[in-house]
Amino acid sequence: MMAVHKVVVTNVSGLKAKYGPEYARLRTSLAKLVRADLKRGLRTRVVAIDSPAVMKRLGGKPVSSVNDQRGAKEAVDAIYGHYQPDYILILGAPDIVPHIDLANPLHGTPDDDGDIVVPSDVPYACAAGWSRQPQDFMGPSRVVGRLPDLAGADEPSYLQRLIDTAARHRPMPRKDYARHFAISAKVWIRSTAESMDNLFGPGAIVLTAPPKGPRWPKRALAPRIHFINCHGDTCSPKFFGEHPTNRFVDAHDAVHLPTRISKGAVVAAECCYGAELYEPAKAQGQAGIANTYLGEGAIGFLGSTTIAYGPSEGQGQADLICQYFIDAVRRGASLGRAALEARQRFVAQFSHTDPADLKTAVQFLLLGDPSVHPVDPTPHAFSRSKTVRQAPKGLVHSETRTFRRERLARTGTNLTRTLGAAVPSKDAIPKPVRRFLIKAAEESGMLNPTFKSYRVTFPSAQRRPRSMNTLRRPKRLIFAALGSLGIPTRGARISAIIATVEGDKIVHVRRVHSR
Amino acid sequence: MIVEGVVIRRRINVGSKSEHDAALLVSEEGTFKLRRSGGHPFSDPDVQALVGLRIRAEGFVTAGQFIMTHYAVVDDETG
Repeated sequence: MMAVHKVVVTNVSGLKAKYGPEYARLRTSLAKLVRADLKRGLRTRVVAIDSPAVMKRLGGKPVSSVNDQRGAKEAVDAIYGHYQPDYILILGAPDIVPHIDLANPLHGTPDDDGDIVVPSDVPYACAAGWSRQPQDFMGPSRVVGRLPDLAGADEPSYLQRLIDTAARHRPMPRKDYARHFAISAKVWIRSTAESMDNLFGPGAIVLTAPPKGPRWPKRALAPRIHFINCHGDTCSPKFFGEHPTNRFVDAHDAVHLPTRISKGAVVAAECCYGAELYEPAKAQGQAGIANTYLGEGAIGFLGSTTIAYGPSEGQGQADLICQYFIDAVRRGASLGRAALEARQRFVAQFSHTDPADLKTAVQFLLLGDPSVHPVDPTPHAFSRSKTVRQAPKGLVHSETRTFRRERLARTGTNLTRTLGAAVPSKDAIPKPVRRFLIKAAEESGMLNPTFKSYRVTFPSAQRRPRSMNTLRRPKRLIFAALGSLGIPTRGARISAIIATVEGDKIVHVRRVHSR
Repeated sequence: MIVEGVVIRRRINVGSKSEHDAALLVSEEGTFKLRRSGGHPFSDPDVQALVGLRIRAEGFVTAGQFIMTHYAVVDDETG
């Protein structure tokens, strides 16, 4: 069997139910995409996960409905097992191929995070089987992206546009991605400035809201890298700035984007709900910012489906995963590989993920064709030599993508086998630790803190490498004091003090600067 | 759906990028962040003006929020 490099996963009966006879237009666009992929060296197969005959051939089962999350996950696993493709493209909004609703590790206290679940595409990127627990998906190894149509749409022109954009894209020189458009809520300027310094060098420009936005001139939006660190909310086509504290202004607005986005733009948005694919009818007919960017010719969008986390100063959570994604894109990675490397690089820095890090790892998803390379990767000089160019036909066949997939799979496997995660527990807080947290909360100006307990769990001994089994593995608990500040200290609003405890000792403690 | 409840003000999503003072609708169906369809999700003066009042609102629930399309203040004496 000839290798299949890319699989487009979709629910054809779902698309037909949504678009009726207009579905034929999508078939035409998909055929063009398959031809375009072949010209760039990719053999692409479109797989209907709702087809009993197709799924049986692939060793899997068809989904029972467009809402069948477990069925969709297991179908993708079967597809991957059969083809081992380099890329998996999920075609459709969540009303065609669902997100997987994972438990939110931060849900459950009076001050808690309002998301009951975390809709995620990360399980599709993991070899781990079906689960609703985010800690089971810390070792992604597959390159996955989603090209969404509009949730609730009744005609397919939007999705056609996205497919055609992906088919037409040609990688561009790195210099075409040298400039950036970065906006930040003014209260988070220090954190955003650090992110941009890391990506574009010291002194990289960051625009803030206030005072600027949301009507950005075309020349401001012209750069092909967009980095956005603002507030967002569910069912909202806007992102918001903030300054002073609790004073919110419009920073970015989907209604002001048409005709102003450069073709091939890549966006990383740290904002809460930045990549939420809501039904435009819920926002008076206005599609969200992510949908709008893609509809206007942006080639990729990394964003969160839910409430996101990150410090007002320094770097953490959303800052990091967005930064890692843009870094990989600019170094020539495909969109999908950039997203995978960003997730792996993010979780690899931890011995165990705390609840905010755990949520971060699963809430960010890639909207875009994962096989697209925004930046033309620079080939090795020898690959252009006479010897290679004139080698007998079929003798030299580059497999560097295969080698990269092997490396990514190895990294994902290692993470799955070794990374710990903090899961909610009912462990009582030891009195000395509670006194410490109360004192720290008082010193930080935190009012009436509430407390949460977590237990750090590691993969079972059977999955861990032998070298780790010799390490001591005491019970590791995390206790967090959460609360709002009465008086800001040194310009930072501190909202959580997190103590990691082993035995009777606090072995690690940190303050999380709230956004 | 139609929901009736009391509007309170509380800081929510503490520690996240969405931490802010919000109007919440406390009802038998649950407690939701309260928004007006088309209104500012973080600081809508029309919603803030409802804090302390009992309202009956029509709208939909999404991600723990109640986004209302119509609402009316309920007079306690007439119900």
